[in-house]
Amino acid sequence: MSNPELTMITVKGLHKSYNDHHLFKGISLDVKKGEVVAIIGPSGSGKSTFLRCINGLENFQKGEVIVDGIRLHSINRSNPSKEDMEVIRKIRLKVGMVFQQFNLFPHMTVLENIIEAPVKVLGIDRNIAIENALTLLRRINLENKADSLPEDLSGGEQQRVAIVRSLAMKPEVMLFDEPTSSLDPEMVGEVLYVIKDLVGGGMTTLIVTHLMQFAREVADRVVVLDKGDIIETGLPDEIFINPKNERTKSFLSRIIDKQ
Amino acid sequence: MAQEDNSALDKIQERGTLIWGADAEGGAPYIFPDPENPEEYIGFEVDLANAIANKLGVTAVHKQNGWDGLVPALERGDFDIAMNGIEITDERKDTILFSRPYYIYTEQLVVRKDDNSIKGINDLKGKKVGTLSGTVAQDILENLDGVDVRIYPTQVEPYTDLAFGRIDAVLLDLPIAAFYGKPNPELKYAGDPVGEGLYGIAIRQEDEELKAKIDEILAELLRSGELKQIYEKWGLWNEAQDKLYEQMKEETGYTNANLEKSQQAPISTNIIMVQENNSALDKIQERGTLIWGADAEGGAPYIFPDPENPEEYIGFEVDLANAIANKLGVTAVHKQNGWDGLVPALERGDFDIAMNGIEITDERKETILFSRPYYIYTEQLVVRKDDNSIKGINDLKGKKVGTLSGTVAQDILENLDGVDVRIYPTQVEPYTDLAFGRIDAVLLDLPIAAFYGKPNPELKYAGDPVGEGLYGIAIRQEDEELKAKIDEILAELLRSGELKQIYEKWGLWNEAQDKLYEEMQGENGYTNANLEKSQQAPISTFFPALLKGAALTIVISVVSMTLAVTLGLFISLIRLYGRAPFTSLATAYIEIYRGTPLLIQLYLLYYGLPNIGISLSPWLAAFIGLGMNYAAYEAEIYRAGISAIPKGQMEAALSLGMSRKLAIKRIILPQALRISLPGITNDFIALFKDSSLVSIIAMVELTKTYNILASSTLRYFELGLITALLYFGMSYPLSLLARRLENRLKGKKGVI
Repeated sequence: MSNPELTMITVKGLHKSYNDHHLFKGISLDVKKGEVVAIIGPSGSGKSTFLRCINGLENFQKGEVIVDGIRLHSINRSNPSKEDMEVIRKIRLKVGMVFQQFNLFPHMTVLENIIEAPVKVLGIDRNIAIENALTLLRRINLENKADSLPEDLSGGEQQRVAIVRSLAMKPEVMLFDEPTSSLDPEMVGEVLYVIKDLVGGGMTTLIVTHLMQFAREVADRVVVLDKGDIIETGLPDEIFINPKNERTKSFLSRIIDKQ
Repeated sequence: MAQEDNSALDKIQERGTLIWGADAEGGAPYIFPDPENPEEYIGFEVDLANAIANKLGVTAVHKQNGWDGLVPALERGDFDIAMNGIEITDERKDTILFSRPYYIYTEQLVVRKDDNSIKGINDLKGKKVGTLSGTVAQDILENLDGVDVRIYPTQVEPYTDLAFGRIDAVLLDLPIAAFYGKPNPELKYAGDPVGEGLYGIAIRQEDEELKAKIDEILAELLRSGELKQIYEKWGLWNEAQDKLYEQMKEETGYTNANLEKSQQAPISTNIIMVQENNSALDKIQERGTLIWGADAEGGAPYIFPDPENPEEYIGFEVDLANAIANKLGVTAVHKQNGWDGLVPALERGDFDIAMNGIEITDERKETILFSRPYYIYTEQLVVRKDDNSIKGINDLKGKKVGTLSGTVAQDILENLDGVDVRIYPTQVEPYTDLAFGRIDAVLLDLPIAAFYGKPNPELKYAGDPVGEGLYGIAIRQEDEELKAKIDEILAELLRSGELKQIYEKWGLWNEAQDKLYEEMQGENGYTNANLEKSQQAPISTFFPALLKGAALTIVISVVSMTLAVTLGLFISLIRLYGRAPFTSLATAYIEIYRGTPLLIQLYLLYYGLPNIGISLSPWLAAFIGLGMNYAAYEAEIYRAGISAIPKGQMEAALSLGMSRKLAIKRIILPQALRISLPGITNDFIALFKDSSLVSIIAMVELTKTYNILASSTLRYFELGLITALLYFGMSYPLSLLARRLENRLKGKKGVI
């Protein structure tokens, strides 16, 4: 294993079952500080579930997740202990997440969406939170929409707001769960632009995506998942130009044909 | 009202029943379900109604009606009279007649046994005193200074509350106090009775003839001591009742004439008793039974085993025997005897009378007496439906005709030429054989034909009835007194319509029976009273009281709804997000509260909890009762709202580091509430109306106020309209609000 000082996320021997389906059978992954990892693979391979295990949105039966030294063991979801809940919350404070469906709060304005967690969770002064939020909105060119409701925004705008809503919590890790899959094609670019900007700033990032070109551009490392298993991992150029695994090859040929 | 041919009195006697209205829910000792046989009502007013009906020669039939609505129902014609502790007031006299008073009631104060601070009505200042609405007691209490008057819906509850310590005293009519208050070991009478009022029988204004008759009967019952007997039976006799006699003395006219008449009556009765100490009539009354001979094997419809209960005999002669025995003040006992031997057995003294379709013939008259005829029978020819050859008795030549032996029908048939008469032993067989085609016709008494022939789908009547005979009750030759009495009773039964009723019940009534009436005199002297409406106070005089009730309704509704939405939210959150045992508890709460009536919940809360030492004030019971009930419904509305929020909302909130609690509070609930709001508003409207149920726990809200006002003024219609308008005025703005909320939600995309 690499130097723990430099490791941000460690996933070790994770087992997860849904009902009767045994998805992960001891999956492991290390992510270094500042590293950008793209996770690709066919649908149903467990990419999203893998991300959601990292910030405790999904439970798992065996193994552990360590984020910046905070250890999360398997938890009893129906009756979690106080300690488990505390660990999950600590991890969530370090890890931001962007969803395919944006999940903005429809009853709040854009600005309220962004300052809600900083004010209520971190206890930041409301005025300071607003200032920070406006700065973030300026970065994505949406400061004029601060007082709009999410329903008045386009999909691309909503996803950009969702990204800065996560950033307002000053996370050390960002998880992107297919951030562009729900978008109309002409809006994909603006969202990718924001993500690239963020990644360029040195944020530790895990991104699940179907966009291979984008993965190749932004990722330091590409992880290929199939049937709950990491079948190949390597530099983007290695994976995309010269994949070693047969299943990787067939997946890439299928997906590149489509794109 | 259209003029009618018959007066009320005529109608009563024609139908043979006196229909009287009273509220059995009102309770003891007036009229209430017999504890030993809850389908029967007992009470001193039941006894009185029976006594009056008896004097009228009819049967008393009780008709249930809520007390508040007795007078309107009487006016509507639902019953002949209303008698249910109705006080004679000038106000009521404007719209109805009252009989002479039948009871003088006083108001009795009841307190807890350990309470020595209240010694009478003057010690009630600052005390909570329970009573019923629309009573003299209420008037008395409201004219006292500083008394906190609590109005109850029924008679038992104020005493229960008093025993529980919720109120300090109860002031109600003595009969009620005697029945409900006195027997309670924790309660006692305080001071002497106060006030004085008169109970009268309510009669429609136009029925002056009926009023006169009932007044006469009441005077008679009073004079004979029967009335006193009834009151003594129920523990209601007291010195105050002496005034009933005084009042009678003051009266003049026909009453005095009656007094003289009845003063003579007992004397002559006594003479007879002395002279004929061992007469048959005397024996019957001594032993309390009228033994009558009849052959139950003879069959229907005279006397035959009840198909549903073969140990009992039924039949029109059973009914008649019972009616006669009833008039004699005894019980009818049937003694079985073969039909052929009935007369010899009667002579031997086996029974007092024989009654079993025995025809009055000169032959029989030589050995026995007959009462006046009780039925005029004819002979009815019955043939098969498809047989059109026999249209009457003259077409019977060469035909096989069935009948019974020793009947008039047999005589008729044997006097016809060339008829093949077939004699059968019982009544059913000739008709069976006729249906099978074994014989061509059956000639028998109409009662038999009506019971056995007519219902058979293959048979029909042929021609009009022929012959005519009289059924009489056979009595021993020496029992002339009994004959006279039975004749008198039969005349009475005929006059009152009871006899007709019996025959109609058995399908035996026909025009022939009119001859029974010939001796009877019709009544005359119908007077038409003019309906005059009293001048009425302007309706606005009732507004303050109604508005006060409405205000109370609003307070009850708002406070209860606040409790309901709060508690409901709490319950739905536990149900959705709580831990294992609590989730089930929340579900159980919802199911139990939704699955049981609110009324029962209120009763349990207010009257049930004191049994285990928890006594809630009416206000608290109302709030908690309505609030907890509606909380169950609100919980389900919230649950639906919360379930409609996409999962991603919670995940986004959690991934931003929010705790579950914070996420529910800030993200889930604000959205769920918007979805729930129209449903909650709807429930609020429903609660407004359900709030009227709390009147059962002594809360005088709008509906109860209406009840009280309407029952005292009889202005059910206008007051009802105003009350309905008040409810509408309160709930319609809520409806508008609910609609606006719904529209706002519909217009908003992306919320759900």
